[in-house]
Amino acid sequence: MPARAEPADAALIARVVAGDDRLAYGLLVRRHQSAVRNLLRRLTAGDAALADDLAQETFLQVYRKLAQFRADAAFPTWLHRIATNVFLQHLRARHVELSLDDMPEPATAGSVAADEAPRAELQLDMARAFAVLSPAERAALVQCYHLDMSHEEAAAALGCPLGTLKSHLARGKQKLKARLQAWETRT
Amino acid sequence: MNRHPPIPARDDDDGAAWLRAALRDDLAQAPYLDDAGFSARVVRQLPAPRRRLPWLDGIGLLFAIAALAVGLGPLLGEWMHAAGASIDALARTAPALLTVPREALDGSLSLHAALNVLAPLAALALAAVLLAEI
Repeated sequence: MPARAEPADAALIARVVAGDDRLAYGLLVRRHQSAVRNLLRRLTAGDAALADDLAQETFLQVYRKLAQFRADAAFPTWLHRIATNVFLQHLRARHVELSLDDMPEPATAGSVAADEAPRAELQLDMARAFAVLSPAERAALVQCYHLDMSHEEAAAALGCPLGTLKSHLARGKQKLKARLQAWETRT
Repeated sequence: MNRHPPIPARDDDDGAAWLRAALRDDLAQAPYLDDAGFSARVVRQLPAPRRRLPWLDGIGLLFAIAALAVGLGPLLGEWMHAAGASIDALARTAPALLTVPREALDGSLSLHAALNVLAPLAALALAAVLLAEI
């Protein structure tokens, strides 16, 4: 017997919106949970427990906002934007500083190499590289370069001026580049 | 294994093409995380299913009764009037029962007469819809 095709996201969303179909919502969550949890693990610098808590909150918010979803947007992108917003809400609730004040200077390639050189098996992949960023830098980079949000949109989501967002991006890129280049030169 | 695209010596306009590609590849290649009850936990935490408020049902019922009264009242009045007239006519002369209204013969049924029938019918339809909702 041929396997039945999985219903498309749009069909599941329609079932949830029209009939509060929780089975359909469960399927939608199961389908997208891995991507959302992975994104939040990046944003939380690898804190899996926190990422999963935020992922649960993300899907609860998605459920409440599902009627607002417009089919002309890609559902995963919409979902990831909400996940990023949940991460930012978490930072605000914890009073994590999102401004540029008191932020560490960006690491240089030289200092990174010196820090990491003793470990021969070192793999400076994106997860490790992301861990050196501040929460605001992580959020800004994900918003602008993964979710393709405009600088204005990202600044509004971060609740900071446009100039601050651009500083977050510049510092974040510099740190990431330094980390990844340091890793590249040793592989 | 090098999992991110090579970083160019000179960046593009905003220095982000490599980063965009690196993020895309990174998240695309991220290991699949087993659901392990995650979706079930989310569904359990969803707010209780939406329930209709009982007082809204009461208001709907009142509107339905009002619409029934509006719809049936004139029709019952018409029927009672017709029945009374028929009894009178029957009492006077049987052929009067066969009398066809002059308006119908003329083909000039007035708007007023049409509304007298259509308005109650519309009210009855509304009542049916409201009762179905309840």
